[in-house]
Amino acid sequence: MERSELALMREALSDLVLAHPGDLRAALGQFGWAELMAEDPAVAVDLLFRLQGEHLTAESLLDEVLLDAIPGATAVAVAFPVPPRTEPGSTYGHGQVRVQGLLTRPLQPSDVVLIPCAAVDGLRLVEVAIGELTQTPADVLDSRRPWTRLSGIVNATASTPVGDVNSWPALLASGRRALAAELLGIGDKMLTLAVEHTTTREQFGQKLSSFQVVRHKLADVRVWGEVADLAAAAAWEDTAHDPTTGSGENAMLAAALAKSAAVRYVATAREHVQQLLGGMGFSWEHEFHWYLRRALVLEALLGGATTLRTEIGASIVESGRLPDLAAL
Amino acid sequence: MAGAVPGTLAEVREQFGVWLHENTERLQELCAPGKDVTATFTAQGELQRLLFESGWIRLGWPEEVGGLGGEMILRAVVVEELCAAGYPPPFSFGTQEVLGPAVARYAPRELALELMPRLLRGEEYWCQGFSEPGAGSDLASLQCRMVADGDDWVLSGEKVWTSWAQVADRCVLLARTGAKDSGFRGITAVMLDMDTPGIDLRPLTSMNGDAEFCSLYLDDVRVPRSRTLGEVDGGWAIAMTILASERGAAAWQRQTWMRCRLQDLLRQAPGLPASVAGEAFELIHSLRLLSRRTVHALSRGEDIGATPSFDKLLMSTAEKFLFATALEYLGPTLLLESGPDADAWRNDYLYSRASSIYGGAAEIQRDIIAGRILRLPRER
Repeated sequence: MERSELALMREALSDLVLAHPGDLRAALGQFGWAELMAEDPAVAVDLLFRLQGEHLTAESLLDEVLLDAIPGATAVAVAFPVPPRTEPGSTYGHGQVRVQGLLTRPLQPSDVVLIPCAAVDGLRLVEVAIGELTQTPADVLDSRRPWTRLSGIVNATASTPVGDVNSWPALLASGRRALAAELLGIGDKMLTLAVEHTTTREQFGQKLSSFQVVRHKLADVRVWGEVADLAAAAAWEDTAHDPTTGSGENAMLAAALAKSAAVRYVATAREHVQQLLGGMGFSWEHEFHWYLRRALVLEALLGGATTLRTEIGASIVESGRLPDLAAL
Repeated sequence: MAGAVPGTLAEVREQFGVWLHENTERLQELCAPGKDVTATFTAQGELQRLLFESGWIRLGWPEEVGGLGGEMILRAVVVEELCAAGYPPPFSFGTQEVLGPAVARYAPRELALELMPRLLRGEEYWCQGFSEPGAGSDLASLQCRMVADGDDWVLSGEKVWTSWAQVADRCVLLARTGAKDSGFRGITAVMLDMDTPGIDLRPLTSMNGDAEFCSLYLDDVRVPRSRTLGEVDGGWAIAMTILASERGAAAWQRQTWMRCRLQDLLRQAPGLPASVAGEAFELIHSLRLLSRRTVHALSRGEDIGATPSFDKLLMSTAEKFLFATALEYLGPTLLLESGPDADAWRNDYLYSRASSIYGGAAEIQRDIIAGRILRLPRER
């Protein structure tokens, strides 16, 4: 996409996100989200998820992004592993699907959900109708998004298998790329809040931003933002125009690195920005805490810092070689 | 290099791989670890000559200074492949990337044509006379005096932390030509021959035991004015070009080297937890992403602004993490044993402590990011 075209697209999406706080999914459908995803998934995901982060949207199109990686899927949502797990907590066996998952929103009984589950022969994906499964509100920390826990047992005969052995890695990579972008939106917003605050508030007769300790903390946040930004872009390198390599080992690794970098950025921002906002950042009235709440859930979803680094490390410890990522 | 000069990254990678394979014996000989400084520099010079004669490190330098033309980025591949094949880039490669572009750009044409091929061929080694006892992080306050006398400049003052000055043939030196308090506006860069009378040189042993650094005492040292680099009182621009190269392009070399060292660590420390190996890789990869961008931008001749400060900060963060990890998981080796591996880990750990100090301390990089990238005002 051309630079000017990209700027227009960003502006259009930004207007749309702001105008539809309650019905983003429907509005994006009208906007032509599916076509944009088909044409340029890197741009679509990057633009939308940064906006989701920046504006703390109640709705998220994370489900759509993941399901896009599974040809033939009919589900409208995914039962995510309950954080901080990255492997599914649902199981398949003995004629049953035992469901343990997290939804980004409550669903209707007639809705079909994709359940990644652990089975004796590895990981499989099945689709089931919500039906009698139990939905429990889980929006206790991040109450601006209707997180919902899904649990219960379904007869295996009532489930439909989808995807193949590469599907789960592909889902995981898609999800991590999107979450990296959403975390970037949150980190950028937090940094903006801190810059606004420290360049206007005075103490000891000086702007807070004139104190070197303040400047250095903000610089540290900014460094990790730069790294996260590059890592998020690099995660699309191996997937561009070739969905089959999108589930390749390097693409998986690049997606894990993108999320790991985004987590480092937001974790640094959470720490330093809150400290610099002082008491104001601890108040209910200041919007900072909403970003912190959202960040904590998204950081853990599909793998937090330790999980991701362990995963990245395991692949290089096993082979004794470093992957050829980000070639010149 | 047989036949046509390779023009793309893929061509360089492929052809250089073949060349590496054909020259294994000679390369292993030249890269064998040695203790003695003179022997090390002799071997480095020979390696440089070998790579020059075969054409590889002439890639991306203009033909008039001894290069083969093409984009600078072609050279970055050479260093990367060299390192991946187990031959860590010699110190002189770094120097060439740090000082070469500035001299090629700012030296009077004749001087550049005379000196650059010698640098690239490995016939000469150059050092960098920036810091002074009273001017470290605040480089613009340097006070080494340089006054005009006929066709010469006359230099008097003191330089410190000059790496490998004892083996250097020339020094890119910054001196004050303006008033004492003229700051960055009154600085001029010159190319000083190290065998000029009046230079007294004293080694300064660093904490890893290397005699890398030197103090330079300059007592009425005469330099022809034709050796001026860039404009009189315009030396700051040269200093900034050099620091940008050091923070950017040379960081690419550092990153390829860190990847090799992480691989060594994986081999030698079987108890290394996956999460720690993963974090080390993540940090080195972060530096790789940053410096890849810088190398591309420099190669295209784009202005890189203040972004190399990100690269420099990541360089020290990754390096310190990597060798702190080695300290933790190769503890007995690093602390108590002798032998080439133990010596290398000990040396690299100790040297990593300087990575957030040299070439612009981490605090300076943070100041630059706060001021020039976040644009935080300084006023009260």
